[in-house]
Amino acid sequence: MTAGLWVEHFWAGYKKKTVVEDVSFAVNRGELAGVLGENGCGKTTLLKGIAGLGVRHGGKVLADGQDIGGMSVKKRAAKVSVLASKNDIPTGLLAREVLEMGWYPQLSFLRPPGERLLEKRDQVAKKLELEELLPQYFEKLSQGQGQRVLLGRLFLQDTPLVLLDEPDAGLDFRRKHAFFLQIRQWLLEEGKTGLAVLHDPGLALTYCDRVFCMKRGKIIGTIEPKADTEEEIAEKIRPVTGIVKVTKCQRSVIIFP
Amino acid sequence: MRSAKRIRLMTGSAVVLLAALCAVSACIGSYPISLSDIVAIAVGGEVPAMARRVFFALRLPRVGMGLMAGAGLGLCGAVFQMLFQNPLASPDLVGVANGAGAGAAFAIVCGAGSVRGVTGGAFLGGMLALAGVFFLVWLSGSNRPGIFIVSGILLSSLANACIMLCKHAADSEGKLAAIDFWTMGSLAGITADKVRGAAWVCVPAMLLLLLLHREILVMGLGDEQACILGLPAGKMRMLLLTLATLCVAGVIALTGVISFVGLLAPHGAFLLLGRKNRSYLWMSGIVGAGLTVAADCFARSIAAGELPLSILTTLCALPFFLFFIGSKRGARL
Repeated sequence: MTAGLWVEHFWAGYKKKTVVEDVSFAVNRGELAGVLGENGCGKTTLLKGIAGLGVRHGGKVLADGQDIGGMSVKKRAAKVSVLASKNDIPTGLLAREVLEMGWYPQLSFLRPPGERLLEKRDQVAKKLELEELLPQYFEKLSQGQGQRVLLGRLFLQDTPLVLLDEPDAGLDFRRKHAFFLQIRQWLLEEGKTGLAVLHDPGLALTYCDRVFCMKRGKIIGTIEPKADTEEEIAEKIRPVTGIVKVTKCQRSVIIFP
Repeated sequence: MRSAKRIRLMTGSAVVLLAALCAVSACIGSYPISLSDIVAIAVGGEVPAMARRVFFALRLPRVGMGLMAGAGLGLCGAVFQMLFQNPLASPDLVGVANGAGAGAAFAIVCGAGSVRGVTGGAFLGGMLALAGVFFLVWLSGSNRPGIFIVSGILLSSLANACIMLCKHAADSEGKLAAIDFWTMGSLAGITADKVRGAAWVCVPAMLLLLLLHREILVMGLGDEQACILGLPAGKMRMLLLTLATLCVAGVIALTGVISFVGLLAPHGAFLLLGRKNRSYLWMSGIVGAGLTVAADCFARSIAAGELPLSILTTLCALPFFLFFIGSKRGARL
């Protein structure tokens, strides 16, 4: 089986500074992987580098076995989608119009969206319970509601590799957990691969199949929350969080400082 | 859906209003034509020969140019405001107006007496300003919206300096007045030939911009989001800027600088529609055309001679601006 995401000797950074140095890892299809690390350790730069968004990068990145490093922007958008933490949506757009931007990479110039895309939009709206939000102005939605619409956009873009940059920002407790369950289920059902930058170690350990710990631009450890014991997790996560106590409780992993 | 109905209603009434404005504009002038004469010309009835000649040789080209100029400026203003995510962006952002002004002034000073020389000089000047902005952007090695704005300001000032130099070199009678008059904009002396020439540049550019509405909307999300959605933001911005500048340069090469229309028309359109989709681009063009044609009516009728257009567009714009600041939208500026 080819890995959904294969990263080898990857580096990324800016003109004067390499932020991510020589990183290698792999994520299986259908899995959600998390990246944990302190502020400024290069998590977001890693994500931007993989997505090819305005940072210099090198090394090998394969999505479903295909090298996406040298792809054109248009082709890459059929392979990788990103849910960013910061979104500046202009005023005057309906939530429906924001959602529909997800099918932009699949449209050809001037051609209106076909029957298939319209149907898919309705399916996504139903699945994420967006129906009530769609006729409203996007700028009038709360941050969490907006994030759900953008998740819908991600579903509509429908790429094999999905990158999430702190996707839980602004979501309330219940929505946060529902959000991750939905993403996990979607990845699993459709055989897609997810990589999420997260701040909350408890959330990462609970919902991710593997968690990469980053420090100063390098991956210093990989946690497999299901296989590893509580003590192993605590030991591996220490460079990122300091000394913590980890307790597994049914499906969840709880972490105390 | 309520908002779709509102868009249809607003667009429909705006078009009707604009048509009425055009008819009124065709009546006004030193040789007044009555509305019934215009109706008669339209349906092919009997009209005095003089009225017919005035209508076809003077009024129709003038109204046509007003429509095209206003629509072009309004549409390009909307494109620029989306592109730079800035409500204060206007089609002049890359310095095309001052560039065209410098080109026209240079042509006037060099003694290109013919209208064609001045128009050509203005168009070249405007496009040179755009080329200068692209060069500065290339020099900076970055392709962010901010770099474009800074480069535009720089080129604008440079062109302004050129205009001042030309004024300094010009003799104080004919040429200086010609330069001054050009920088204030006017639809006087528009002929059918000139309108046709400008239409070759402006209409295709406007049509392409309208067809690219999806891309313009995605660009409005910012570079990063555009890239995520598969739109190469840097290249698309270059393309859209070039199209819009072509259109604006084509307009102001003939009319001179018409201020405020490009800045205000998109806000007017948004006020009417409350939406920023394809219809927003259309509506910006309609509002811009309305503003320009209305201003031109006053330009011909207030004083004994022709008034410069920019004075009137600015006057028309002021109450609008005040209303805009007073309304809810002002809070978001």
